Amino acid sequence: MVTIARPPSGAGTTTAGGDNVIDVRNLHVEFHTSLGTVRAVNGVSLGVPRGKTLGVVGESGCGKSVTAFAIMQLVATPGVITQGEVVLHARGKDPVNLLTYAKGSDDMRAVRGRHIGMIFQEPMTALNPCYTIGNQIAEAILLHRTKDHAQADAMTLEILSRVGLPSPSRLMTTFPHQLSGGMRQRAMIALALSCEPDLLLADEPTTALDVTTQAQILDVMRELQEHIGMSIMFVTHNLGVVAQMCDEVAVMYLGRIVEQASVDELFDSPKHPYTRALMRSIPQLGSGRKGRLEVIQGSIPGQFSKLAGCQFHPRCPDAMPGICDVKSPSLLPSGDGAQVSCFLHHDPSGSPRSPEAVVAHAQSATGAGGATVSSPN
Amino acid sequence: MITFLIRRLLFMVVTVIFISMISFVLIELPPGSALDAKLQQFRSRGLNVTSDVVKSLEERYGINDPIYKKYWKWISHAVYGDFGQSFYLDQPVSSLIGSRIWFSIGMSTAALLFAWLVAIPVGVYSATHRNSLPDYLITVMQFLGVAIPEFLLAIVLMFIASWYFGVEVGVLYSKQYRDAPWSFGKLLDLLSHLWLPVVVIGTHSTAWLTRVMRANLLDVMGAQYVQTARSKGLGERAVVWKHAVRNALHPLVMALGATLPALISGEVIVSIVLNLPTTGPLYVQALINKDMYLAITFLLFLSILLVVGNLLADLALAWLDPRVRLE
Amino acid sequence: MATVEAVAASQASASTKIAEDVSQWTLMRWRFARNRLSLFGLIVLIILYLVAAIAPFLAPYPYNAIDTEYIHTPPTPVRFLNGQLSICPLTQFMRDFRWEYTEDCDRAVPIEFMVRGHPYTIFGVPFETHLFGVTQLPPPKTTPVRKPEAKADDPLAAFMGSSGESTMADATQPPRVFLLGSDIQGRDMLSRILEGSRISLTIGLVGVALSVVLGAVLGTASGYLGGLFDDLVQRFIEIIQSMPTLPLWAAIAAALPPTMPVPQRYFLITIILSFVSWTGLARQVRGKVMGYSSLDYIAAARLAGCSHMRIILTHMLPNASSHIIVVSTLAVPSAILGETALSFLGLGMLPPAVSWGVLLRDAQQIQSILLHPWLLIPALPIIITVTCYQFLGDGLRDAADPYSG
Repeated sequence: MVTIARPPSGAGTTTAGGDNVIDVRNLHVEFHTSLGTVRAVNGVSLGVPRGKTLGVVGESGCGKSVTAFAIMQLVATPGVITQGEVVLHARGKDPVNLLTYAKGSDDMRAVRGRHIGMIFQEPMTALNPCYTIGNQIAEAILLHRTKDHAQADAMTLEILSRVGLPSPSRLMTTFPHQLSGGMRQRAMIALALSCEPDLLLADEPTTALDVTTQAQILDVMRELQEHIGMSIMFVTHNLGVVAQMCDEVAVMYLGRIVEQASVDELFDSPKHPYTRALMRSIPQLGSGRKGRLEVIQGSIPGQFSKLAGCQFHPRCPDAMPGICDVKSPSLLPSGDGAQVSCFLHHDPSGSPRSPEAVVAHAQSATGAGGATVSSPN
Repeated sequence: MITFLIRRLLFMVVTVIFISMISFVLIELPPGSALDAKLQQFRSRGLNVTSDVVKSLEERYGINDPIYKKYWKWISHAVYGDFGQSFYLDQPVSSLIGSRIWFSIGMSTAALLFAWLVAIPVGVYSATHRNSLPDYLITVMQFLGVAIPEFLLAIVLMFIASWYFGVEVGVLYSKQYRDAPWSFGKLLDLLSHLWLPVVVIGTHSTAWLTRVMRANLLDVMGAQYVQTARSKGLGERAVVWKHAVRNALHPLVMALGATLPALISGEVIVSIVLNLPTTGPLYVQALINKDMYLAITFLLFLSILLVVGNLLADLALAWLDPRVRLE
Repeated sequence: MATVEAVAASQASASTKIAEDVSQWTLMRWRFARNRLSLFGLIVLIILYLVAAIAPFLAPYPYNAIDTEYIHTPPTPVRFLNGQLSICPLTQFMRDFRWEYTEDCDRAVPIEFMVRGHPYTIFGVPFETHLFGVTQLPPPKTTPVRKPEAKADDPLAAFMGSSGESTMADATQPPRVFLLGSDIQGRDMLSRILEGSRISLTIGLVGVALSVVLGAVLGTASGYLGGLFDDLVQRFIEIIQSMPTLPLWAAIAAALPPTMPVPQRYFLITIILSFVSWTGLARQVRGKVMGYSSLDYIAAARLAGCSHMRIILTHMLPNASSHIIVVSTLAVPSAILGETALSFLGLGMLPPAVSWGVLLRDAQQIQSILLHPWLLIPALPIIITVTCYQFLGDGLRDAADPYSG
C-alpha cells in the first residue's frame, strides 16, 4: 500500500467548469441483462480541466470505468448510453457533443485515438498478441497522422523512445508476450499517445503493476502530459495514486458522483461521509499498530436493487432518517469550489447548511461510535 | 524454428512406428486369416486342398510365425515400399493402394478447404450478428450439420443430385472421359463429379468449425486488445478481421488435429456410400475379408495422413501465433 | 472488457449474498434451467429413453415378425372413418417387378387402443397389452378390388400385369398397420425403430460411461503423479489420437466374429467405442487436475497431511466432476454416431440385432430409397437424439462454467 505523499505545492486548484477539455453532463449508462437493468452510471457530470489531471475514484463496480468507456462510446454490450452529453473541446476545434455521433461513425472514430487516447488496467491483455508493438502503434499513426509508412515508423520510434523503453528500434519487431508487464504498459501508453491526443483516459493503468513499476509509469505519464500538453482522466481506486497524480478528484459511489473537489481540498477536508470513510480506510504510517483499520460498514447493495433517497444512506454513519432515505441529493457547490452531493451540506431545498452544523453533526456521529445515529433534526 | 521442425519430424517418425505396431497387432491378432477365406474359396471351387498344401501355404505366408516375427518381416519390407501381398485380390498391396490414397488425400484436403472457407466467414458473421435471425438459422444448421451422420447426408445428397440435377453419382468421370487421356476438360469433368462428395465430407467439420469459430470470436471480441483497437479509432471491420479473427483462428488451427480424423473417417464412409474408388470401400472390404496386409497398410497410411496433417497444423499455428514460435 | 469486468464484479459481489448458502450444484441448476434449448434437449431425451424402456408396449408387432404379404408397404394411412380412426386393408400385387398395394376403404377396420397382442416382458415382467393395434377382421369383400390399369404399351404388362395378386383380401388375419411402412421382409418399421432405440440409445451411453471411468482414472493419475507415468500416458494418448477414429474402430470391430451372440457383441462394441473416446477425457481431466495442483487449497490440504488418495478423492474429483459431466455429455453424440456408422458398414451390430444403424443398412442403395423412401426414417431419431445431446451438453457447459465461450 502506498502512503499518501502529496506534492508539497498545492498544485493548481482550478475550479470545475471554465476551460475544460471535456465536459460530461448528466451521463446515464444502463446494462440491460436478462436479469434486469443495471444503472451503472446514473447521472454523472464532470469536467476535465485542460492540461490537468482529474482523478475518478470509487470502489470497484461504482461505474468509474464505464464512465471512461462511455466517453469513447465504447461501452461493451449490453451497455447502452441512455442520456447525457459528452462535450469535447479539442484544440483548434469547435466544441462538439460526442454523443451526437453514432457509435461506429467515421466522426466518432476520428475522435478515438486522435483526440482521446485510452490505456487500460491489464497491460498483459491490452496489446494484441499477434502483432508486433511497432505494428500496433504504427496502425494508429497511419490512421490519424500520416499515410506514409516510413514516416509512421519514424513517429513510432520517437514515441517509443519517449516512454522510456530501452532500444526502441528493437521493439518495433517485438511481440507483446516478450515484454514484462511494466514495459507493456509503457508500450500501451506509447500507443495511446502516439497521436498526441487532447485527453488521455487512464483506466486503472497501474493497478496490475507492482509499486516500483507503478511509480515509473506515473512518472512517464506526467512527463508526457507536460510534453504534449494533454489532460488526463485517471480512473483508480487507489487514493495514494490520486494524491500523487491528480489536480482534481471526483469521488463516485454507485454510478453517481458524490463529491468533486481539488485534491488538496478533498484530502484536507473531505465532505461527503463516503469520502470521509474512504479516507479513514487508508492505512497511515506511524498510526501505531494497535488500532484496527477502519472499514466502511455494510456492502454495496445488489445491482438491481433500487434504493430510495441517497444511495449511500444504508451504509452512512450520519444518515438522517426521513431525509436521506427519502430524497436523493444532487451535486451542489459547497464552499471552496468543491461540489458535494449530501444533505449534511445542503438542505433538501438546495440551500447550503452552515459549516458549524455540519461539524456538530459529524462530531455527534463520531461520538456515537460510528453507528447509525438518529439525526438531531 | 529449425530445431522445432526437426523435433516435430523426429517425433512424427516415432509416432508412425508406434502406429504401425498398433495397427499390425490390432488387425493381425484376432483369430482367422485371409488364408482361411482363400482355402474356403478353393474348396468351393471343388479343388482338393490337402493338409500338405495348407501347410506349405501357411509356411509360405508365415501364418504360424510369432507376431513380432511377422511384424518385422512386414515392416522391413515396408520401408522399401513393399507392403506385402493382398491375399484376397492376389495383387501387391502397394499397387492397390497407390492411386486410391491420392484420391483420399485430395478429397480430404478439398473437404478441409471447403470447411474452412465456409466456416470462417459464417462463424464471423454469426458472432458479429449475435442473436439475429441469421445467427439463429446458422446455429440450427450447425446443430443439424453435426447431428446428421455423414453416410446419411451422402445418401440424401446423392438422392437429390441424381433426382433433381441429373448428376451421375458414384463415378468420377463422365462416359466420354472415362478412358480419355488427361486434359483440361477431363479435369473439369472430374471436379464436377467431386464437389458433391467433398461437400458431404466437409459438412460435419464445417458445422463444427463454424461453432468453434463463433464461440472463439465472441470470446476474443471481449478481449481487452479488441477495445484497444477500437480506442485507436479503427473501424469495426478492421477490428474484427485484423485484430479479432486472427486471434480466434488460433483455437481453430488447434482444432485441426480434431478435424482431420473426422474428415478422414468421413472420407472413408462417404466413399463407401458413393462407391468412389478411394481407400474407403477397399479398406472395409479388406477388413471383412481379413485381408490383413491390405488393411494394415490402409490404416497406416490413413494415420500417416493424419500425422502429417497435424504437423502442418502445428506449423500453421507457429506462423499464426508468435507466442508458439519460441516454445 | 474492463467494463464487463466491473459489471461482473459488481454482479459477483451482489450475488454473494444469495450465493452464500447455495452450493455450486444449485447454482449450476439455476443457470441450466434458464437455458431453454438445453432444457428442451433434456426433456426430449428423457422421453426418448422412456420410449426405449417401454418399446414393446408401443410397438404393435414383434420387431422381427416376417410377413411376405407386406413387403415394402408404404406407411399405412390412418383415416377417420365411421367415427373411428381406421385403416383400410391392402391388396398386394406385382407390377414392373415390384410389389404394389391398393387400399380398399370400403372394408375399413378400426385401430384399437390398449389391445392384447404378442406377449413381451419389460424388466422381466410379462405383459400382453399394446398401445394400439388392429385385431378385427375386415368385412367380406363386396366389390372387386380395382387394380390400376397396366399401360398397353408396356411390354412387361402382359407378362407381369395381373399375376401375383395376393389373396390377402380374404385373409383370416386382421390387416396390418404399418405407421412407418415395412421393410423388405414385411417387418414393421415402427416396431423395429422402437426396438433399435434400445441399442442405439444405450450403446453410446455405456461406451462413454466406460471411457469416463478410464479417462478419469488415468487422467487424474497422470495429472497428479506427473513424471514418467504422465509421459507414458500422454504419448499413448497422442498415438491413439493420431489414428483416424472410424477406420480404427472398424479395424477393431472387424475382429469380432460375426457369429457372436448379441449381448456379447453389444458389450464389446461399447468397449471399442470407449477405446478412442477415453483419450480426450483423460486429457481434459489431467489438465484440470494439474490446474488444481497449483491452487492454494490443495497445498493447504497437502500441508495438513492429507494422503494422496484423500486429496484426489475429496478435493480434486468433486471439483472436476462438473467438468467431467459436461465433457462426457458432449462425447455421447459422437459415440452414438460411431455405433451407427459401424453398424451401417456392417461392422457394428449385426442382424438379427436391431439398431438404427442396422436399419439404415437397408437404405444403402439409391434405388431402394427412390422406391421406398420410408426406409430412411430411422435417420430421424438419430438426428433428434444427437441434436438433443448437443443442446444438453452445451447448456451444461454454460451452466458449469459461465465464463467459457
